[in-house]
Amino acid sequence: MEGPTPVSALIHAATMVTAGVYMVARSNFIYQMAPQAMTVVAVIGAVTAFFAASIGLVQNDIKRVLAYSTVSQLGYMFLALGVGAFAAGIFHLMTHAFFKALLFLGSGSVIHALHHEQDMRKMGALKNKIPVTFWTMFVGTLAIAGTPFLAGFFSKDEILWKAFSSNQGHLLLWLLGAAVAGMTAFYMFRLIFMTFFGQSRVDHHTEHHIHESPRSMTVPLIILAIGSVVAGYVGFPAWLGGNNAFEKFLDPVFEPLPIPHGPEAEYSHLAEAGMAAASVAIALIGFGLAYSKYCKRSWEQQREIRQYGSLYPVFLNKYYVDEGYDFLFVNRAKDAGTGLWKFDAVVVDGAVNGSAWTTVEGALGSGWWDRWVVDGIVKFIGGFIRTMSWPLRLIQTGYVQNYALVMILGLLIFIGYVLWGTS
Amino acid sequence: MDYFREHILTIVAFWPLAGMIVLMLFNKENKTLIRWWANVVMIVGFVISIPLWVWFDRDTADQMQFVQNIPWIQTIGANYHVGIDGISLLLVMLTTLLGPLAVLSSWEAIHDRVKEYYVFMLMLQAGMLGVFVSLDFFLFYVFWEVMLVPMYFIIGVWGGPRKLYAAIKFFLYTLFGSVLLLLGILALYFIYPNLAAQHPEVAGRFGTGSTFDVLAFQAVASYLPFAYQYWIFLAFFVGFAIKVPMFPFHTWLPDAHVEAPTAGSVILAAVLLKMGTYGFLRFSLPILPDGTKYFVPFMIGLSIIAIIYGALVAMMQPDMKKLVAYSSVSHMGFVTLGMFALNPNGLNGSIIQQINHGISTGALFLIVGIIYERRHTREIAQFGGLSNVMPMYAVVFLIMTLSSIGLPVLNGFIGEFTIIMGALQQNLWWAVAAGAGIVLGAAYMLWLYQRTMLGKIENPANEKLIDMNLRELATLVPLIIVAFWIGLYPAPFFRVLDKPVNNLVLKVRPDYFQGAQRLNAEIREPR
Repeated sequence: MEGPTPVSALIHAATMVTAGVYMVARSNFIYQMAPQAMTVVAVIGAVTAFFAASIGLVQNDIKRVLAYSTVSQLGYMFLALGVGAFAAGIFHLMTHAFFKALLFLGSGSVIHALHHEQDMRKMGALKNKIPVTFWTMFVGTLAIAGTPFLAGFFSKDEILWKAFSSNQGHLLLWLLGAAVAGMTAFYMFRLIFMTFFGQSRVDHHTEHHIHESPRSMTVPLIILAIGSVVAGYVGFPAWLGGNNAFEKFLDPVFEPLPIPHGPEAEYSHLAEAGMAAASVAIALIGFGLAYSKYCKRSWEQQREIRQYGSLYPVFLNKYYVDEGYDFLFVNRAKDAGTGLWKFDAVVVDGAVNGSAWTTVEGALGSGWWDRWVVDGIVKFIGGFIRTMSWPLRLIQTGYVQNYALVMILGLLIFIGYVLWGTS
Repeated sequence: MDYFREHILTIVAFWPLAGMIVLMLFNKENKTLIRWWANVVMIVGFVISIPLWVWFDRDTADQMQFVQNIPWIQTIGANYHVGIDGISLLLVMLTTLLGPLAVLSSWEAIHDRVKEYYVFMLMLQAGMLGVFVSLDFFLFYVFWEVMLVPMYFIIGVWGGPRKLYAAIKFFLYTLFGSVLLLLGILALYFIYPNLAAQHPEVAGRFGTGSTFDVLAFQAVASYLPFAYQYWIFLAFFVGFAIKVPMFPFHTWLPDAHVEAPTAGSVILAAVLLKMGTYGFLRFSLPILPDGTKYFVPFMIGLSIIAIIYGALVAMMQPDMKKLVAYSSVSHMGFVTLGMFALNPNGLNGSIIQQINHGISTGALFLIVGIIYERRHTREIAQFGGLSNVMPMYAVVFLIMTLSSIGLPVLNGFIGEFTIIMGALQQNLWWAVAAGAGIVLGAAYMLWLYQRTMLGKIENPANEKLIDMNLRELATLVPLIIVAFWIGLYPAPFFRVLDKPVNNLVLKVRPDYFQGAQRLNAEIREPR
């Protein structure tokens, strides 16, 4: 969604995000052997479709609405794969490619006309100023909303029907899918009404420069609009008198494995028609609500916030999933990184430096020991002997005068002793 | 020509040394001549190693080729015994390729003591080549130790602010491991004559005298008592694990990398670390098969810790070079993980990943060096939006980032994929841990790229940066070519590796292929 608009169109419509659908369909032989896994796929698909659609209800960035719409439609495709309707999933992938590429390129044309303004709160009343963009996007909206006999109708109807009728299907899955159909109609027409109808909220400076895009941008829109109308006819369903050509084309690829699944329940064409009518009715309700809230009365932020109450910030902030991931994984990984880095510096490297320090201190210690204890004993012995020999040293000075003096003193003492001592 | 062919390994290994001796005769003031000479010597060194790749006989890739065995110090039984098999061939080629690039990258980075610098670079090159061609443990040990000296000076003289700390840490740490390695070698040396005397088929080939011959040690491997294998494995482990480096012996690496000059980091990451893993491959696995098998859980545990731990720590580094250094710890974890899966896929991937790591991490250090030369800082926060002023640099950086995170079409993918296959064959959870490492690897590398290259230029100091010049481009283009070559068509590399790897697996797990055949037969014909 943050990419340049043609890239968004390519990524969302056909290539990257749908690769997962292709992958599961391609691996159908594995999934068919694991019915529980298929149920997981189906439930995740239906829930994704629902949550993404609810996020799309309140977004203000025109491309963001379309991005969440893609997520929601991918949910449909996974729902189809999960209930074993692989061909229906691929069929929807194909029809979706037309109208989603159209809608993205159309939004690009709007953004181009408004000098890089993506915020629908600053749009409105563009219908007559950029008519080609408006009409093609309108067709795309009709197609994605499931308007009968446009491309989206056939594939979406096929998925919803299989979600109910297939062996892995369930009424609850159908109900979720049908609710999403209503929400899709609602947020898509909200987009159309906020962008092209009501009062203009474009700022005055830009207002003067609004212009239809050049032919290089409008011609692809027209081609895709034609595709959005006719692409569904390759899978014209049996209950309307067609022959499900698309499904038959893919039959060899999605041949069921020789694993007992039990007999498929039989339903009449009438039941299928009834279900289709019900989903169309739900989509009509969605359209009606969007019409009354965004077209009859122009968009107002306060009213929109009031209308969802406490759910509004939840939808607007995408159920805080990004924040949750940041909290659970990104920040925890960063904490772990920082923590381990400290561990590395303090504990691991501490052990290394510690052993170096111990060696150095040990060396200093043994140096001290050597100097004071080992050498000390040696020096002590030397010093002791030196001290003890001090008196002896006195008579060994090496000076002749000293010897002569001592001799004379001795002689005098001796003479004195002889003269007076013996008397 | 015949003379050249018979002595090619000696010539390739000692050529840089010959160039070094001539270089020492030059006037140290004539820096241009010195630079030219060192570059020419290195490039010629690469050219004369090409015949190794051409003449190498792929059909006998598990045999030692280009062998020379000359008595050297006969008193102790040390020989000048050189030769290469497929594994060492790749590492020799990696070394002769990276050496010239590292030297070329130093042209403008080194201004002081230019002559001494190139002398040490050439000495280093000779030491590393010697390690990879030696088949005599004594000779190996000589080269293994000799190579410490030039690296010590390269970090200690031309390094960053904490160069002395980093240099002494590198030297002492490695030496500590080497001494234990030497004890292990001596244990083998002293027990060999006893074992050879008892087993005539060994004595017939290698004699019963004292020897350091690696092939002789490999021949007696299966008779080596377990207690010996246990302790020698541990001794070798410390020696090699420090070099790899494996957790928890890795802390010398970030310091050495950050402080070393660019060329030093390149050689360190691209070639020096491989000496540790090569040691495991050439010595621990084939000489100590029972010890190896016994320590598999321990080695795998350390590898997985290194993968995750290195990646997480790398993610939070504020310094580009330190980030790449920790990413090395993580990537080398992959290498050891594949190695100790002890099956052909794991070992093939492990060796290919050693080459890949040499290519992509070597290139990343060159890339960091280029920006460091311009800004004299490597702090990530200082950069941002560089792709606006340095488009060519941004492209090269992107290619190497993608190569490092293992994107298909580039070399990293081949290595990581093969390693994960090998790990998966042994244990699902090993592969899961490796997968987590890949995701984290993508996270820190792309985050680095985003913070330095993308967005708008915020820091005015970056506005006038000049894009890469021809010389800088020339250091990276060969690596890009090899990265794409391995990514698109790795068959020539696997062709060289298949036989030695199978041989290695047979030495460690003699019944591996029987088991595999039985398994294949069961898959073909389910009971």
